[in-house]
Amino acid sequence: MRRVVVTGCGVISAIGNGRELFFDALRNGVSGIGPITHFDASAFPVRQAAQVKGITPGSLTARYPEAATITDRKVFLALAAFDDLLADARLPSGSPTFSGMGLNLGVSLEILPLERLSRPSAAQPVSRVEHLRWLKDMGGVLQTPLDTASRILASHHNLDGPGYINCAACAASAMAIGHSFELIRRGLADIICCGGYDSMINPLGIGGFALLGALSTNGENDEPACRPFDARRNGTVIGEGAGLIMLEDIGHAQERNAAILAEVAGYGASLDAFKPTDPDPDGHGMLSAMTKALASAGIGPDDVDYINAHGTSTPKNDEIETRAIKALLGDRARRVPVSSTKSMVGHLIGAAGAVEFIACLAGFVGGFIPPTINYRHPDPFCDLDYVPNQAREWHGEVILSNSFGFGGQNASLVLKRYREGP
Amino acid sequence: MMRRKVAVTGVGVVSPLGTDLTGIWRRWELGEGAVRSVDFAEREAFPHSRCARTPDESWAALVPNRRLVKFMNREAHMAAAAAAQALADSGAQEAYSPERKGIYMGTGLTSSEIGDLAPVLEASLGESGEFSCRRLGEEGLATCNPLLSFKLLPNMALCYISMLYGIRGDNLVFNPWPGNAAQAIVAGARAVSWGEADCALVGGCDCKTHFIGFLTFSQMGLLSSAGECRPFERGRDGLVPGEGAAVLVLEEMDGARKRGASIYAEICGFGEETDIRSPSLCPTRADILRNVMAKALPDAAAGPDDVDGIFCSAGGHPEGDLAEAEAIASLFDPAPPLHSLKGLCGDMLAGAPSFALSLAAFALRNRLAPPVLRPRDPDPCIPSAVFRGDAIPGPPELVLVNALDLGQAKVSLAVRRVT
Repeated sequence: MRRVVVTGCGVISAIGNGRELFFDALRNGVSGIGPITHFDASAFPVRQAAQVKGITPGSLTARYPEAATITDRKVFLALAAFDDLLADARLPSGSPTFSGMGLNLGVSLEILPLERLSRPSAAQPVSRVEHLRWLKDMGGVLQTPLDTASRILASHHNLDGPGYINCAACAASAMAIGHSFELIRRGLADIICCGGYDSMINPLGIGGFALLGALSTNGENDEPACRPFDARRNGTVIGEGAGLIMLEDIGHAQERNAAILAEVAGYGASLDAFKPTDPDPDGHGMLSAMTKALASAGIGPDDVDYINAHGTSTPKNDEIETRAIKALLGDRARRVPVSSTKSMVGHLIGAAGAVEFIACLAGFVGGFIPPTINYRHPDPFCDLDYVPNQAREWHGEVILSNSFGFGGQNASLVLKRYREGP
Repeated sequence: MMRRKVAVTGVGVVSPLGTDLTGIWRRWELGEGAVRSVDFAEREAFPHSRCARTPDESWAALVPNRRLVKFMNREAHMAAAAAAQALADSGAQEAYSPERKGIYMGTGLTSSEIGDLAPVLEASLGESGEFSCRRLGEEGLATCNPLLSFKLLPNMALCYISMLYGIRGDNLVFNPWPGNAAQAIVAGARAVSWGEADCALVGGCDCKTHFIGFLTFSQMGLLSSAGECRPFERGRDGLVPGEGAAVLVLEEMDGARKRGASIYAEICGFGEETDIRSPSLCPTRADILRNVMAKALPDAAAGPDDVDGIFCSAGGHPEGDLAEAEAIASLFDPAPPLHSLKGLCGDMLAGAPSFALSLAAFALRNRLAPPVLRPRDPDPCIPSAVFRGDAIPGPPELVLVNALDLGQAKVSLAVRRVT
């Protein structure tokens, strides 16, 4: 099977847009979490999120006029990340890029924009049917289908290779990367832009997650909100952003003298088959994804030098993930650093796996692994080395990156330091 | 490139024509359609409410786990019911370990019944009728069903199937159009072929027979104004919403034979293209669609002359139907018989490709010649050569199942009879 390498990345996140700023923030342990300003959240049970700065529709519709009527914020995050990817991979910003280049993106779900459902005329009360008829005739489309960003990007940049929209919730972008890896490895494509984008920082998104009890209500007191593996964690914090990765067959990359950032060596996917609301407490599904990823890379647990955890900061995930990692690594578990970058960028849902994959590249490119910030109180059930609060110098070879989705879809990716030779 | 051969060993459907393939086949032969005016909340906002719903709700009982059903939206419930039937039909459930079974599903545009959202919205409107985030926070959220997220997330149909049937292996879920759902079938077949799984549940589900479905498709300009789905006909003007799910069990051929499975057919080839040239959701480029079908044939070691029938994806779209017909006319001479169920059961959208594949598999196993599509009032712009007068003599050996209509992902599957 062919070797698959990473030749570029584009990242939009609450702690920095573009690889350089993103890596600097990871190294410095910067938190991107703050009060929600995208909408009036003052009466919401949760009022904080990790918002992206500096991306406005206006800054992108000049280049992408086909996005002029789009109202769904996440689409613009995807477009911005793609432009960043082209720059990072040193590809011309015009088209065409490469014939046969694929696009495989993860994203979680459409959100009906409640704010657009307000009555047409305040002065004239209308019946529900009249209101809905008005809605029907108002032009535009209420829903933004999940292929919207892909359609714009593929048409604009002539990406006529394999195109997929993966909607596996919090595992979507990790699965999009793993699926792309398999396609390239087995010769069905030479180069695929893959990853994901998302923004759930909208009224129904924040409201919906808050109703599920998944969000931390800390943050307005002295307790930091997103604190994976900390004994006082009580929920996650929603983030937004996009992460895109250029995955390429090694021969294709070498032929065009591309800079190779890392190698993707393995991928494993599994299902919890447990409950809609909770991960399997035994961690079988998580362990199975990690084990399969290592087998797919042809290596064993002893080769793992760092794990970028799913680490959501919910009480259950972090404990179960810790248990699964211990089951995987055995005696070595306490000696292998494990960290969660969600402590800094929040939970990006459909984009989480891709942005965390890019955070892993810091290990190979920047020589450090990102910390778990806000870590203060050891939890007896979470007793691994979580790289607390300070980034750490790192010269390892193999990284495992975990993404475990709502509903029990699990994905694990193996990244390796790129070495020439067979 | 195929390695291991992929057998279809189980089929389960929930459709406007029922859940029983023999009964569906009979209704297809008789031309008994399921499109009718139905009653849904706020239907008065539309010129008509013609769509195709399941004839009754008896399929719901196929999923006995009531606690889990409470989390499901209608299409996920249908998918779970289809999976139950497919697994029972195949007898594969006990033959493979949970880790060696995978699930590959396609789901449609996120939909919610207006009834789920209306109370939240009403409670969130200020005195002047304007939506207010403050009111949503203060009043609206409290009226919201906390399980709503489970109904909105498009991956959950796959997850419920895994929970109900203890499936723990490889998996992928795609969204939102029929072509994306057909990609899930390809992904599952590849996983079996590559050895990522020994058994794969593949399929799709969708439901747009409600207010949000009508609203979305009328806003997109895709809804038939007369509520008639008329593939390839003159005056066709869009789709008629349908609903349903179809799930198929795929197994590695040797494994299936060894355990004495009843084999419907072999999925022997795939054609896939990304159509980045058509400016709207419906295809306009016959050359791209032609390539999709042409690509499915070499995998099957077949040429155009070997194809005995095509399950078309034409759904009554003015441009899309024409492009598919031109693609068929340019690849085949003469064209094989065309088949379509959309006139009878509307557009099952993300459920449509696996539903058509189910009928194709049923025909191949039972050596039945599917009813030939003969437009009553054919569009004169469509090459008449595509509407071959006669069916082929005898039952089909090799058919194509197309998903060439909405969205950029275009897929054609080659399916062969197994002797």
